[in-house]
Amino acid sequence: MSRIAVFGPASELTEAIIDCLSRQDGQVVRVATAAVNPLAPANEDAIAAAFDGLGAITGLVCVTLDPRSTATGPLSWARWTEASRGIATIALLGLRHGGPLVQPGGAIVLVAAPGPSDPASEAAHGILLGLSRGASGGFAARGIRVNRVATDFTRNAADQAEAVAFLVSDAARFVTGADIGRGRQEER
Amino acid sequence: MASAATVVTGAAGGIGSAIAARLAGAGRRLVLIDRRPPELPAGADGISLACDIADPASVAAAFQHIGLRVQCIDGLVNVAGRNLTASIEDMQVADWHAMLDVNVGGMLAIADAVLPLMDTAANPVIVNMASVAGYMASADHPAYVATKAGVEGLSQGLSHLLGPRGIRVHTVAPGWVDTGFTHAATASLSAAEAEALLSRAANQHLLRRIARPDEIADVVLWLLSPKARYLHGTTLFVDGGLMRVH
Ligand SMILES: NC(=O)c1ccc[n+]([C@@H]2O[C@H](COP(=O)([O-])OP(=O)(O)OC[C@H]3O[C@@H](n4cnc5c(N)ncnc54)[C@H](O)[C@@H]3O)[C@@H](O)[C@H]2O)c1
Repeated sequence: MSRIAVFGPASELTEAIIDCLSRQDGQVVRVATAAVNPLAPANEDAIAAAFDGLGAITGLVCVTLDPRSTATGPLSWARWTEASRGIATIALLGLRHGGPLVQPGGAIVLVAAPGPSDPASEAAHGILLGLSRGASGGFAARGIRVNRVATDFTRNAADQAEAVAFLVSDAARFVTGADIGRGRQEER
Repeated sequence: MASAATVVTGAAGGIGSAIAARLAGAGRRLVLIDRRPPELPAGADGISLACDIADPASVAAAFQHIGLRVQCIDGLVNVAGRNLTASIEDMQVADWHAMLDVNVGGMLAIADAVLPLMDTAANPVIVNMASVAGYMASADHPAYVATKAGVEGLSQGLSHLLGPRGIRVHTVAPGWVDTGFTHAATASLSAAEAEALLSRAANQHLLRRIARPDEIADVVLWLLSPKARYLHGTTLFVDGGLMRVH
């Protein structure tokens, strides 16, 4: 019986993933979305608390979101900070606090909600991809798969959710360190 | 008008200093950047500055100074980078952010600072240093893998933004290179263990040896030259065939 935790900020993509997974057998658990503020992702204690008491899971989906604020120039440090923290740090903290709950044979998927496409966000998406590749090594030792779903290969959250559902499913049992999609986004 | 200059970050390090030496040999004017002022190669024309690329105030101060001495920049080689040995579980968030900000954000910040001086350059090029590590699983260095994959994402974003302005952007991904960076990885090992690790590393490459820094530098020099004028947004593996083994 599967038990999949969906962790991440409130977003259309988060809802689409929960929707899609709920149509399959097994249990879907939302991990306190309010604890994940993409503008203050270093709020690690709240994230740790959100996973507290969750118990064993077979799958973990970490949804990330670039909180672009319009006041920042495309190459400014402020823009870099929000994109990198919103996408990459949220994923790291989801992996760190949710990863240990995933049982051997389980799967983790990192995914980013559609958002802006500028050098800062492209870099942050690259880091998310690299984090899934890098982490696949440590988690493989525990029999857990780690993959990423990119943002733009389809143009809507429902299709992205299908890819996520596939990667946490048993059909993808030999897929790890992989990537579905290319990573560029529609707002280019 | 004084000739255009080429900026190299991480120029005190193994790969950066080799690039600076090759650029000087080709008669290029240099702007060398590192945490401490790097040494200018003998006979080279240019300036050398201390700058923390992950600190916006430090970058602003450095480029205020550079702007007084240099009117035009035709090349940026983003080499500065660091490593972090820590599993996902053990990693401090502050260390993770430092990795992000040096290995990726610093490259973005330096590109931002250089761009206003690139407008008049005849052959403007940005080269960002990634690594084959950005493609590989690693239990010990997930932050390094993540940030090196991030460099390729950054280059991709910059190539879209800057291509229409005629500025070429490239990523170079070395395999193992014989520098202090590599030796740091063996520092905690016994001589025999270090020897075994380096021999395993050599055997990961189809050419059966790790690279010398000048072998990375020669490729960077070619990418900066007009000979590569129609190459844009590519990732060049300078890895002795390592990616063909993995
Ligand atoms: N040596 C290898 O095997 C290898 C392989 C692939 C990629 N690389 C990459 O090549 C680049 C250079 O590596 P290297 O082997 O010459 O290493 P190195 O350690 O000799 O040089 C790195 C330099 O970057 C500088 N630096 C670090 N943080 C900085 C900061 N915040 N501001 C300014 N300068 C800073 C350091 O002071 C150092 O001089 C790095 O980006 C590294 O990731 C190295």
